[in-house]
Amino acid sequence: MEPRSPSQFRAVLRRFVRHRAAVVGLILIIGLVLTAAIAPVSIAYDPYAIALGQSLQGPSLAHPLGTDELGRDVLIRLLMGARTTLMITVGAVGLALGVGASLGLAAGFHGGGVDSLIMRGVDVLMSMPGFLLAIGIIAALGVGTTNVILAVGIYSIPTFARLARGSTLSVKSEEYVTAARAVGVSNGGIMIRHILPNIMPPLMVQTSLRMATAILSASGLSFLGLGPQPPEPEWGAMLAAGRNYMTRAPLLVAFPGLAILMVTLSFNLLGDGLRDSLDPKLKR
Amino acid sequence: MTRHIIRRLLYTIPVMLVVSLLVFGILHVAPGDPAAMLGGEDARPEDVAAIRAKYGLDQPLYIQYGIWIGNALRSDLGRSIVTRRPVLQEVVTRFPYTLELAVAALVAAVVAGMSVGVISATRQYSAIDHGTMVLALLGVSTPVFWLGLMLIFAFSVELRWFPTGGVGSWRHLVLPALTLGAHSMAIIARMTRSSMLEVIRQDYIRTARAKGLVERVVVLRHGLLNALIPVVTVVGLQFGYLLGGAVITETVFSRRGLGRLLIDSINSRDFPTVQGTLMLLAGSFVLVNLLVDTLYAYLDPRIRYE
Repeated sequence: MEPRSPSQFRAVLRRFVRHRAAVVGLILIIGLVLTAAIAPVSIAYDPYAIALGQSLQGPSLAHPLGTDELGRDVLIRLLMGARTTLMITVGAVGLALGVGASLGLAAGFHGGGVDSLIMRGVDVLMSMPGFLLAIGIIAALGVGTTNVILAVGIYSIPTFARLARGSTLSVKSEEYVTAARAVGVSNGGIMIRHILPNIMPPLMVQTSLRMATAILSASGLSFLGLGPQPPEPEWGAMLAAGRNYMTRAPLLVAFPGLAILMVTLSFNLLGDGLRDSLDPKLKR
Repeated sequence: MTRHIIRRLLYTIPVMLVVSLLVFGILHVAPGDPAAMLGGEDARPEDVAAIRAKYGLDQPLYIQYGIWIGNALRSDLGRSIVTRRPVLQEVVTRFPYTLELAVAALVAAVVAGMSVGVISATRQYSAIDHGTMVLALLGVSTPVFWLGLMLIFAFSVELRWFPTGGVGSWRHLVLPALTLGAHSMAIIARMTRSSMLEVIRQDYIRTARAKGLVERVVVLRHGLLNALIPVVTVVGLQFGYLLGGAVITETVFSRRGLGRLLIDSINSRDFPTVQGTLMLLAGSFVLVNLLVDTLYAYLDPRIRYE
């Protein structure tokens, strides 16, 4: 199931490269990361500079995607918004992956009381619909970028914990684990050096799919006014601001939404592709 | 069957307790003095003192929780800081609008999603299959608020077929239900397709065909009925998503439902209303999952006799 030897890794890679949709997804994601990285140095205008005289203009040479209600360049705010979006999503999914996978690994490896304790804790997080839990967390902690990362991260923990636990259970009785124990490797060493690498493939697939969900949730929270506060450029918040001018400048709403759609789609394509290349049996 | 249902019913008690602990926790994790927050910005010191005494806010946390849950069980969720009306009254008057939206979205998602899934699976790798699966992928990737705004722009502003928002007739429900249901529709379609593909390769399907049954009966009775279990699981989970999504949809379409109330009360730091709204929404999620589990037992005799 997972790449163990170079030849198996090459087989996975070959299947991935043949998966055209997944490659397109990967290219788009690399494009997004590059955009976010070079946005601040490449832009011609200040994303915060207000020019009321130029508000709600259509696309032109000077402003390829037009201007918003405060006369700010939409393209530049979209590019800067990519940074915010990427930071929130990577932060949230990173948190969920780190905490969730550690918990699931420990639960699956130790079993017994540790397992029950951890998994009941995970059940607590799942007793409420995820998005509502995120809203509840923000209601408690207050609005803002950091709290959106925490909220989306916390509600994504159960997904990773359950996946990591299940995968750990299926590999912990493999011979290489018994062998490692026989030569005296510590529990921590076994978990990190022998089990973790072998449960990585499903976790990687889930990370990519979860990035897609996290972008939708985070931009949804921003749309509701619970995320990054103005004037910080963020796609969900830009959409919320633009909706008041929808009849006069529909593009103001169309572009940020298309940006979210494209990034979410890319992560979904990448996740599906990774899953199919890591485990061709599942492919239909 | 009855034993299965009773067992599941009993299981909802600890779940609801956990939910109530989470909701109770919101007020106490929030920075600031809970009594002052419950009193609102313009509360006089004696009001704050009265609130502190009423809810036992100077007592240890477990006693506070006891008082709070005791009040909640007697249908006293406190008073809204903004309107000064009982929270229960506020949430109960708005609940039907949210329920109506979530149910309409769910029905649309199940009917359309399952039909598309069955059609795709029975014509695997055809143009229809590829087309609908691309649409489904777009469906799971589209932000619900953007879809809502685009539908408003196309069907309300330009074509003037439906109102831009509000509540009232069925015409007010069409666009919000489509907006909210699209994501679930896509997920159900994908799930139904893959579950059907697994089932139609089974021997009993070949047997059904071999004994000369009409294709429609083979696909629907022998195929779909057996493919339903994983689909029902997804439908149950989707209801939770729909309750969360309703918050956004109600904001987009200016519907006066629980979701809109939740966001308004977070913005005005109206903690009793936030707690009451979350309790009701999470409670309906627990209830729907109970229903789904009962449905399993009905669909799969193996679960009934376990």
